[in-house]
Amino acid sequence: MKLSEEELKRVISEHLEALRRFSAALTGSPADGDDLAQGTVERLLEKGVPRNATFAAWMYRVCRNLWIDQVRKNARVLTPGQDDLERQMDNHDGERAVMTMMRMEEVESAMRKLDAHQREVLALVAIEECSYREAADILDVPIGTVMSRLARARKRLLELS
Amino acid sequence: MHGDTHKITDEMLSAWLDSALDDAESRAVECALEEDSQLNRRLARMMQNDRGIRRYYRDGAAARPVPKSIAGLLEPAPESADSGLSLIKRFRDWFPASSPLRLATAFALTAGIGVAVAVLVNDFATGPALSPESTMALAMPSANPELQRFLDSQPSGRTVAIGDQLDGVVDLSFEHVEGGICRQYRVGLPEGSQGFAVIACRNGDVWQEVLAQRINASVVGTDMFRAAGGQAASAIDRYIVDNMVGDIFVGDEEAEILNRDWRQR
Repeated sequence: MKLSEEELKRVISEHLEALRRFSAALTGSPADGDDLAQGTVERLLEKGVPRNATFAAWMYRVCRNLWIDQVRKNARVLTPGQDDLERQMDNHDGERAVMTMMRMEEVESAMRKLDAHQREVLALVAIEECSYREAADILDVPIGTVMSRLARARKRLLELS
Repeated sequence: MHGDTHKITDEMLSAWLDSALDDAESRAVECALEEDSQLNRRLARMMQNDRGIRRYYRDGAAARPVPKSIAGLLEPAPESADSGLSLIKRFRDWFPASSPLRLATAFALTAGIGVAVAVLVNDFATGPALSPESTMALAMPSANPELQRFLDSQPSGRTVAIGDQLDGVVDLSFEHVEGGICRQYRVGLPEGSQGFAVIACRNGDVWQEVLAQRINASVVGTDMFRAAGGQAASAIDRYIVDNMVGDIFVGDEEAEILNRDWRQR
């Protein structure tokens, strides 16, 4: 039995901020993240969510799968060039009021240089504060894999920062 | 662990940051951090990066307005003048309600749907009991042929006399998750104080009750399904929400299925 459409809309609304954060971290930028978040909302509404599912985990999984689909279709997401970086800069005037320009450049640039697995595990654990067990369930990998990917992500960030 | 700081890997530092090490491993990392300033600085930079990323994405998400394209997807469906939609609203509004219910009688198993027929008796029932057993039998389509005709022919939302003894109204129709059409209706003795809310499902050519809940008969004929005590609809509503697939059939859609003798396409 799935959640009704109205229940689904309500629970998505409650988790929307987390979804947008996660999407932004996966894509590297809040603007691209909102596109991914919108796709995730559409997919959730279209396919539904089982009533007995843990909604947040289900949502993250749908978002991640959608993102992987997009990455497959558009490999440049994984290997951004100068054009992408410039495009991000053009799109993100809103963030400049919140963050200094330097910091924004550093974070986005660094996140986009991580490999996809590192970015998603960092998004779940460091940003969304999931436990290793929760992250492992969402990513469908062993806890040890979460641990090692996270360590490599942090090590890479040290090299980049 | 003294003197063994070279064994502290980035993986251990990272896991220590997330409190994901066991006690012994945590102590080893902490001892190493006390002795090794380089390791300490490495950990501090890891923490700094984590904080920066968290702040960036958290503040960034919070500061950006939700795009209209997303907000539009999450707006509640508009309600129309169709009376059936108020029943849908009832589920949106009432679904979270729950109350302790006492299972009084378990009747039988239905062949088609495979769930136990149960009558749930609420403690809130008021007024003198008017032969509840006989009322109960009258309220069940398996025991009352008039109810079979009532369920076959009546659209939702119309209160009618059922034979000489009952008033009744169908509230809604829905498709059961295991197949087949089900209808939820209320019946009550016209001058009595007791009635039943019942879910019956089509099993072959007949309607078979699957769940019944005693309600105050005064609410039959009104749209105040919960008026008898608020909790009256909870078990019925929960059953429907848990077992329904798709939308509640209302208006033309229900009429179309009714005209097909409750057969699905």
